[in-house]
Amino acid sequence: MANDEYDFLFKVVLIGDSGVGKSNLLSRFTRNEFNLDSKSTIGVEFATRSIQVDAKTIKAQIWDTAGQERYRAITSAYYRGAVGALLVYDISKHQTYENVTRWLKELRDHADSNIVIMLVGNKSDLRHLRAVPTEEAKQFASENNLSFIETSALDASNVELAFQNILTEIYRIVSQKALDNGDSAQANLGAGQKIELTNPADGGAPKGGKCC
Amino acid sequence: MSTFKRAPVTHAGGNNRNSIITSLKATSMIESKPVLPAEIISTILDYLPITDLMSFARTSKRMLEMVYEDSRWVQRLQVMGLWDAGEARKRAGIGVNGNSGARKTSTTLFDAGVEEERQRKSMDAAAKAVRTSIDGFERLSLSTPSPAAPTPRAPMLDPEALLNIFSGVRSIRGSARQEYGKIYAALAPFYYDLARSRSHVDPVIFRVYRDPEQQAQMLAHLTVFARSDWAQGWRQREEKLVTMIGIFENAVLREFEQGFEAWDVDGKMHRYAHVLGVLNGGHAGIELFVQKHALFNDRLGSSMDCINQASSDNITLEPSRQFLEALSKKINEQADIIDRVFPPGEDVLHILLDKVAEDILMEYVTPLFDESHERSLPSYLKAVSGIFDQSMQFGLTLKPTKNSGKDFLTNVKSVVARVFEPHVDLYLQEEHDYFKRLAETEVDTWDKKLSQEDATTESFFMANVNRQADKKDFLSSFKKVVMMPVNVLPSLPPFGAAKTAPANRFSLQPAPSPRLSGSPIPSRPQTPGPAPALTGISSSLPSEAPTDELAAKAALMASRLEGIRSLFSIEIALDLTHYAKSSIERAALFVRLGGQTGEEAREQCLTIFVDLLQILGNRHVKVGFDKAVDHLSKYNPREVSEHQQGVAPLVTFLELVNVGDLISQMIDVFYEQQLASPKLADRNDFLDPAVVAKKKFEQMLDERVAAGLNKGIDVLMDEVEYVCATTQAPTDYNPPHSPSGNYDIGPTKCAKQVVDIVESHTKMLTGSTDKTMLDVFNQEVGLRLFTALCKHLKRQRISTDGSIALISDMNLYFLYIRTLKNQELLEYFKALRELSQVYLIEAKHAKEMAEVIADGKRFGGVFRAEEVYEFAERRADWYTVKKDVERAMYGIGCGVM
Repeated sequence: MANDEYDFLFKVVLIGDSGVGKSNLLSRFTRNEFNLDSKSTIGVEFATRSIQVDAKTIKAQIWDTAGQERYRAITSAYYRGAVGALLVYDISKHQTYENVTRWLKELRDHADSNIVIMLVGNKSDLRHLRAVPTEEAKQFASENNLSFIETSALDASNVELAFQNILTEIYRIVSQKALDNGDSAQANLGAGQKIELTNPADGGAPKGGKCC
Repeated sequence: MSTFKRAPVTHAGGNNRNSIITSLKATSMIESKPVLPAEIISTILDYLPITDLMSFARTSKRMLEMVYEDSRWVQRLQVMGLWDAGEARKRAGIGVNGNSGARKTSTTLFDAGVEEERQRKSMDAAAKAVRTSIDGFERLSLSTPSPAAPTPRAPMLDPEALLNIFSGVRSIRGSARQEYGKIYAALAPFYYDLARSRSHVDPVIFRVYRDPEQQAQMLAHLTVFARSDWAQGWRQREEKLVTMIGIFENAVLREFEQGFEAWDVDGKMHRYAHVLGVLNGGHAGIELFVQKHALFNDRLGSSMDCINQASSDNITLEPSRQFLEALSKKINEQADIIDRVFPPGEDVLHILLDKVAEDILMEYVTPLFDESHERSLPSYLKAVSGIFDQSMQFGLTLKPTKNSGKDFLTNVKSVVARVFEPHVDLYLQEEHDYFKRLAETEVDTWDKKLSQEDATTESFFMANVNRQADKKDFLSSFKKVVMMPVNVLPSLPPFGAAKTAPANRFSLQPAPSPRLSGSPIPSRPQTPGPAPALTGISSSLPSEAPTDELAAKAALMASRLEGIRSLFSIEIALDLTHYAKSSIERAALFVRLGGQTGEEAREQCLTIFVDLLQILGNRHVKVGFDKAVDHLSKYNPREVSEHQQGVAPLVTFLELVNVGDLISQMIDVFYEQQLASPKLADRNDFLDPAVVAKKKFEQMLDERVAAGLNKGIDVLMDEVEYVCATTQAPTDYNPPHSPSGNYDIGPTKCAKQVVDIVESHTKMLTGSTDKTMLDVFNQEVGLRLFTALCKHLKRQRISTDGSIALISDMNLYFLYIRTLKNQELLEYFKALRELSQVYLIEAKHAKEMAEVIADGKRFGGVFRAEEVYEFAERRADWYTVKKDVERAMYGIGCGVM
């Protein structure tokens, strides 16, 4: 249990079709490992890693989800509290790129509206099998107001950068927000304080049941 | 017989009838009617002397035929050993086409021969008549016929030519008589002369031949010739001949002895040994040579030196080595002399060796063995096997003489074997008893020490020990030591090398290799070469290294396994195998003897091995295991005040399994090296006692391990449950609600500890037992862990926030189970992972939660919906969501109400 000091704790989810390499992106980022014959993830896995931005320690709590979760109840639990999302597709499989729109919709449905989304084209090492042109994806990303990067968990290119980028972006937004509502207590975040982008009041009250 | 009876009848009726045929028949019958039946005549002929036979042949044609009958003469040749049936057959085969012609020619030859013989016979008779009165005229009478007879046989009468009369004899069917005639002509005069002579100076033979060699030759011929003489009075004649030969032999022997005393090797000794050889094989001379040999008068050394020179209760084999070396040198010298003295034919060295073995070796060895047997058993065992080995090598250093056949080495071996035969039985028995006693005392001492110390200090957990690598390491050095050449015995350095190149000799000598068991190294002379230090180092290091290495490794192993020292010990096992090794090595020397003794020695080796297994197995390992299992079954985690990293008795047991496995592998290596490779035991023979014992031992080990593992799983699970109960904080899965949702992720302490415990114990077994047994054990452990976790889960309260911790825990268990590589087991833990997601669902999604609960496919059939429902009841907010869930699941709920 990494109980070390940190200034910010951000929850980031990894989403995308099954088999695009989410788990390997995670293991590459947190443990610098890559497993060629990894099995599909069961349920959800967590990992953390801290990075430094502007002399602040930012701890990323990354949720690696199974790409084929059918139940909204569970997926929404995944998205709860997430401030960032890496939407991953496989550059060698066009179908996974096509499904990006579906995932975006799901994010809009379940996640916080202010969530920072990054489109990640994984498996950039498979150049000869490329099915999704970089330009096209870039175009799509800017249209949807997403950041974009192509990575390869296998040769580790851009993996670090992708996480750095999204975390920095979140950090900027959060610190901006903290400045904005300077009056609020959250302006000076103590160690171990988590930023909630959502209003805690928003629908998260199970006690307010619809019962009788 | 019947033909003769019928003949007169036919004859009687024949006159009355006037048939031509009958009258013809009658005529012939009358003419051929014998006085006596032919068989009787023939039998009588057998007993006639040759001269009478010839006279008889002259009486009628029929008699001639009877006398000339080839088989009669062939028989005589056969008796003398001069008829070669094979040769005769070959000759007959060659002359097939001209058979009748050949016969014809031979017939003419016959006549000539008969004529000549007849003539000679009459002359002989005349001569005999003369000889009876005047004894000095033999030569004259012998030579008189020769000029008179104008036959090709004339040169035969030349005495020199007669010496080789037998070599000219051919085996031809149909002319056996002529061949015999030749021999008779040559030898009969001498023979009959000899028979009549009164003293040894009389016979003409000693006058015709002056040379003792020739005399011997003729006498030998006469002995052969006498065999074909079975006419009346042959016994007296032969007796006479024998006495004559005796007299002659004595004279020759005297000459030989004189030569022997004067040590005139190439002169008199050589000459008379040959004479004796020609006369009758030379046994008398050999006997004399061997009996009077100076070798037996020399004292080469006393066997007691071996005992006296060594410290008390010990024995040094150096004096015996020197003794044998000296003996070998002497015998090899004698071998040269034998080659020079004796004619080819008789293996004199063999006879000499027999005598040496009986008179020298036996007398050297027997008191030594008896004495050392009385003094101390180990030195006795060492003496017997050591001297035996030395004797075998001694045998190898002997040089064969020209007369020793190809089986010289086998002969030498059997000679040595005869020396040791009386000792082998006792030795093998003692060897076996000695080993048994030694092993049993060893184990007993151990037991006693154990009971004194009491098994309280046994728990000692060793962390971070790479067992498998250690074991492999240890075993490989063990193998090296076992494979080392026989080193318990000092071996003889090559005898000759000492003189020529001292440095060379040293390097040939095996370097002193101390035995692990710590028995004293047999002292050995150091023959320093030009650079003693250098050669010493280079030759002794390589062979010494592995032993030391093993000792070091054993010590290392022992110190690492200290924790289980008190149950059974690898050191003991090592010691026992070393005792067995030395015993078997000693006994195995005798296997070389072959035959019954070798077989007995081989059996004794097997018995020693079987005993090793029995003592090691039943007395040592089994007891240890039983104790460990006993400790296991008594274990109760709640009573143990101090919880270390592992379950103490289980660790002990698992370490025992490791040690047991090590011992079993040691035994295996030992078996291969000591019994199977030297062909003492046949590993494919399933009835072989050693194989049976080995199987039994392994089976015993497996059984103990299985029984212990069974108990061990119980104990392990007890411990797991105990850890779960004590370390899992209620807030782990149900953290106090913080508005900011401040939680960290990662597995809980409890889960980590559980995984640690289980993992450390299962890892301990890896590589120590059979893989299938390990799989079964792992599967069982996994299943029991699963059950324990389910039980544990049902005792917890889990909030949505806490579910993250739960999921982390389940992921951790899953990761551990994946290392076991058991697909079936993995399914269970997959289901647990899926299950833990149920707690992640927020209360507002209660309806869908019901769907998740009911989704049997999701849990891979491990949980039924009802079971999942039970788990869902453990949600912290269950009472708020229960209605919705139940309504969705069963269609009942407050809405209906």
